[in-house]
Amino acid sequence: MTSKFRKSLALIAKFVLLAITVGILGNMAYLAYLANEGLMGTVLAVLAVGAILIYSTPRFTASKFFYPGIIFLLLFVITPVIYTAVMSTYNYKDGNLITKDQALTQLIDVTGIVPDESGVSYEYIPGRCKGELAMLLKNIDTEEVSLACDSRVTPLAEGQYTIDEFGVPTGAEGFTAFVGDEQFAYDEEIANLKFKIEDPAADNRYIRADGAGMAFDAIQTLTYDAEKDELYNTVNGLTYVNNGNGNFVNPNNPDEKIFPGWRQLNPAQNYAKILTDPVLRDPFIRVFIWTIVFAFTTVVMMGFVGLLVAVALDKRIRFRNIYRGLLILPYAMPSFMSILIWAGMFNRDYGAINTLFGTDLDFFNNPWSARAMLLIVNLWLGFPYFYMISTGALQALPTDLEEAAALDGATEKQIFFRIKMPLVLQILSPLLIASVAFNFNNFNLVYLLTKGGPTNVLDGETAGATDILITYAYKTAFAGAEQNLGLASAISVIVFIIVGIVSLWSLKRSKVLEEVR
Amino acid sequence: MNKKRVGVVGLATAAALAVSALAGIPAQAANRTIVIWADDERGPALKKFIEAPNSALAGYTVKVTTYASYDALDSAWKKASAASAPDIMFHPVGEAINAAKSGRAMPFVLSSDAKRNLSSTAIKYGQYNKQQYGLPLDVDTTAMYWNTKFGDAPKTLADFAAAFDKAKAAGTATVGLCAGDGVWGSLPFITAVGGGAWGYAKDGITPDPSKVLVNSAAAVANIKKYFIGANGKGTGFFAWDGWDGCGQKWLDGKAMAINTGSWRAVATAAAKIDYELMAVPTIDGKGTSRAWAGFGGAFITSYAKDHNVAVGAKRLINWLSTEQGALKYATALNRPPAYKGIANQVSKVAKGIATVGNQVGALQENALLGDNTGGANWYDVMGDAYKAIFTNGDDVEVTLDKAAKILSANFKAGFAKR
Repeated sequence: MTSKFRKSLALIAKFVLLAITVGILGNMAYLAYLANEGLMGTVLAVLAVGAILIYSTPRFTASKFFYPGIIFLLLFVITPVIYTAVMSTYNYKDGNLITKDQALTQLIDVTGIVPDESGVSYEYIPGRCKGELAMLLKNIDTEEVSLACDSRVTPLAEGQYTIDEFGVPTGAEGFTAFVGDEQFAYDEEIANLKFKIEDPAADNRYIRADGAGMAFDAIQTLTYDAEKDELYNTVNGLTYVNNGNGNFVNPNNPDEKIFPGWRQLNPAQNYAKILTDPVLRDPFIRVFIWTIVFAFTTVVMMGFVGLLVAVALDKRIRFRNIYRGLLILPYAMPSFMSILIWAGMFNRDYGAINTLFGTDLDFFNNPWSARAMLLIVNLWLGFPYFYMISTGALQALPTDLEEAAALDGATEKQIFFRIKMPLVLQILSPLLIASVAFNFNNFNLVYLLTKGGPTNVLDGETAGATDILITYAYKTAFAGAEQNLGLASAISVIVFIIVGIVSLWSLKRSKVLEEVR
Repeated sequence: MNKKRVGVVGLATAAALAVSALAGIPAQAANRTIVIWADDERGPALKKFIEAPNSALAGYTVKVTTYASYDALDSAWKKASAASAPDIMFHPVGEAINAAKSGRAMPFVLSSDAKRNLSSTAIKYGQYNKQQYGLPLDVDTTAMYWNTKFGDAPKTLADFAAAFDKAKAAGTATVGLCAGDGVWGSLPFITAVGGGAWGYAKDGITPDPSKVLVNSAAAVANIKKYFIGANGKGTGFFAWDGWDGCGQKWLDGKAMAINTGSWRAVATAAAKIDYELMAVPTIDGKGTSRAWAGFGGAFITSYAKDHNVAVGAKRLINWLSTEQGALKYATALNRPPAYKGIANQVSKVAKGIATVGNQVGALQENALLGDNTGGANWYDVMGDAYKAIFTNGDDVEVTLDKAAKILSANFKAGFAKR
């Protein structure tokens, strides 16, 4: 292969890869904008442009290597963190999911227009009249035909319209029915079409299209006063005021809310709730303590057992390679499978453990046994990793230190505890710290094994004995009857800060970030 | 930048934009595809007929996405955004009201067929603020399947308990009555012993949240007398661990009866179990037990507008609400239909469940059952209460009093939000 040919091939490969990457990023940006996710769309668009700039010039050599990592970091770490932090400052929950503009549109155009008591309904065909969307209507009860056009409804006399063999009106003077696919271009408009009924007694009556060929007499029950930021109910005469927390409410009864509400910026509300509402605060503190205990205990156990096995297998024993191979199996197996198998083994009725020992222990029903179960299963899943790392560390230790110590008369025990152990721990420190941070958020283990339980619901507990902060946040957001995404985000932000502080403190203490001099 | 490099950059950008533009057009908008989400039971049933060409939906195609379970569907719906959300959800109709309150559902007008065929209770079940958001299509209720190999069906729960004690001693049964759908399906048991959820106002329909029945004197006395063994724990008569628990014992022929809906008829028939459908008998055979009766069906999501298929989604709902559409759905799903006019055109099991449901059905008030103001909702509270009484051997009265205290707070708060 000639050098020129190789260069051309490389250039084509580069072009193809760049096109695919930018195409994917551009596509994602477009979809994000469609979904009204402006921040994500902007991040993706910037990344796409960045990719073109960085890889199309011979400059930015270092960035060429860093950029893929930066893309993933921005997409999967920084943007979600920002999103979560922003969401935590909103009253963002069921009933308050959309923006205020969207809520007002919904309240005025959808919720606020209700079929009136008369129950009058129509069949209609959509079309065009005077260049605007229009409806040719037939009253289902009286069979009278009328034309809704130019903001008015005009009754038509026989002869002013045409009908088909089923008696359905098909056309009228000045009205052109949509043909073929024409109406598909006006999907949203047709779904919300309404025309005012001239009624001297009431100025809130409309004919409202249902979108599927049906229309009905309707009343506009809610109107909005933008100046006062108030909703007025035209039927019961009540005024609903903005409660400053995402809903219009009856001022005489603030619990009487109008839905849908909107997500309202209230920066400290969710955090204050966690700290002051006993229903949240008490379980939060309990869960927080257990999270710390779990994260540290499980890592100490994994590190200890991993090191112990590594030391045992560091000696030349028979079948050492077979043992080493077998020890990797728990790590090689997908963890969710292992967790579910363990859950089955601990089952009271048909679990292997009760069957084997002839016991009748309900591991899942007792807080302490459930916690012990978590630690045992996590030990099983995690010790092979520490075993492998410890084995590598032991093998990497310089033998001259050991030999020098032996010459100086140190015992084997002294050599291990005074020389090998400190060196191995120094190597393991960053991994132990990272593992603590990981186990702070070990959602899969807790959710698949105990679902955070047992929870003593009858004594008023709202968090389970094995819930850690991240499962508690998940339950708050998704598992209850009401989703509270803002509150769950606030809990997640607190978890993030705690993990960050613990990790930074530990890294500083272990001095692993210090430059080698 | 030299000419060659400019060319490469231009080409790359153009190609990228082309890929982006081609792949970027949302499928729903491009093809006018109405996307339906449904659970593992309704999804396959819908697929049998709804994706077929339909003159009422000219210009649209319909695609059904089936989720592995109801919980998976519910979880996906809770997390759905405009980019991923469906246009129509098949779900318990009560969820349409929650969606409407969050601005995630669109109202529609009930067809004349629907108005004629649906009871006022069913219509009201799908309404919020005087507008129709949910279309009730099937009745979600249960009946007791009695395994006839255990002899004639008992006339009273007391007889049933005695029969179970004998069968257990003989080793032929390990469960008496299985709540095949977990705590949701356990209401017949708790009402059969004299308890219940809430009382009713004088009209017999409106819940009275001040009356919590779970710890009634009769319930406490009857549970102690008939269902607690010598060791202070449950005799094993009642199991509430659902289909994956006692449901498997039912299939093995080790449970004498299961309380569940028509959705377990196929598995039961496959297990070659002969059964009789009936209501769970009360302790003394007087009066009736109660079972929750909700409505399953469909609602249009507000995202249908974002996908430019709002009109199509309304047409589809409109077609489903005709007798023709409702019958196709009921036949495919094999559940008691909400439509009166087609009640006799469905399977024997669906008809049997409907007959029992007419006797014992208690309207499932989701606002009350799902509220957790007291700390946990009805399902969690009752699950814990059963566990405390029957598994741990806790005092029946103390346990049910604790449950009642929590439920009282829930019912009051839920009723206010109703």
